[in-house]
Amino acid sequence: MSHDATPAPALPGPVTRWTPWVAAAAALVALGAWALVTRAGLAADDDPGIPPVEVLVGALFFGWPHALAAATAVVATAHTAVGADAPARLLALVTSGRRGRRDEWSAAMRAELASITASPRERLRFAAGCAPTALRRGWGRSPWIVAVACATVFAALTVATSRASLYGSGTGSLWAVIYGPPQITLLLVGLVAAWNGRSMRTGLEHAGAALAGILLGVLAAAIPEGALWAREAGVFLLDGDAPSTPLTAAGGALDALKAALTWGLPHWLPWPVLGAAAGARLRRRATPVPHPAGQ
Amino acid sequence: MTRVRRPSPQTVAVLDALAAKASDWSHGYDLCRALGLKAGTVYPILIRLAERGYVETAWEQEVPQGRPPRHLYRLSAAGAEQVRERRRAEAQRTSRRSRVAGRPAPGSGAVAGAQA
Repeated sequence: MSHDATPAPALPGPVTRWTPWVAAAAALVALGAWALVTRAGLAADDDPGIPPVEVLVGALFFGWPHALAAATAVVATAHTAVGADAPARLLALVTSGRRGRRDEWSAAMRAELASITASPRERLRFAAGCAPTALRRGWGRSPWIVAVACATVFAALTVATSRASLYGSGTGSLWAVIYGPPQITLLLVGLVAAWNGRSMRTGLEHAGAALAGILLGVLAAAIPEGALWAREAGVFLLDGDAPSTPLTAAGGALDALKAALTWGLPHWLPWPVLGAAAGARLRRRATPVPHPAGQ
Repeated sequence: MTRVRRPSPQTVAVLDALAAKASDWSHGYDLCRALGLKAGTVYPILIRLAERGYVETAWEQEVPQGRPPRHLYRLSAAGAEQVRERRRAEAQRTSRRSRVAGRPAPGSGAVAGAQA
């Protein structure tokens, strides 16, 4: 005996006239954070005065994807978290975007919550208990395959680029790997997965796995390559700059690790959100049938 | 060779609670309350047991207006067999331990006699 009908949320979510303002505030917070980072970076360069225009330009240049992703995340959350109260909205948010058999247990948790009328606290306890299960459940195998593929490709790309420039131009090569290719990859993975899975959640899961894979792949290759560059050329892998004091292999490896974590990872973070949101939106436009909001 | 993992105490508690209801259906929240376990513990167990075929699931057929149908759970034949098997094995282990320790198994006639 089975029942295919997923309880459809009939109540309005937290989308209000304030939602655009909250989204704008989130974008401003992201830009503000980048302004602080830019200011700190310029201060470290020992500039006598830090022109505010430079700070603003730096924040806009580096921070626009974060601002856009923050605003997108606010709007997507507001459209997805539909329910009568906070527990219902929480469960709607964490169970959204599941389809077919994977949605059965999500629907079971939502239906069970709907039957709990004891107290708001009891409802919140139940929803909070279900949330980790709902988030973990139903990932399938494909995000792991994406993660392994991305780790392999980016490790190979890092080594190939490093060796080509070490024994060729002699200029640092890590920049070319960590700034550009990961962002494009994450955008495309998120977009394609969200399109195929017809949900932003699927896009986020795949692009999140891709981000983890890229980070691991880059680190696994860049750390030994950084040591190699220090031994062979005495310069940093990131940009080929020579340090003021002789560079040890450990110093070269550490610089490569720092470069990947500070110049790579923070710039990659918004792209899974942007790709997944774009894929889900494009799919919604292309699909004529009505669908639940935010998926 | 597949490794047979001993079920966790929480899984045993869920299985026992479902076994106590025999062929009657249970709800997830009621199981949480009856066992004093959080939903984050009970639902993963129910999902695993259902995937292994130890628990049957269904949706409520007669639903009061204003709320969606609830998911129902009960032990399948395989689940009931698993519970019986585990209880048999536990009983054997207990009696073996008691023999090794040189005292009669709890609940045996000798104990009852000694207490009397």
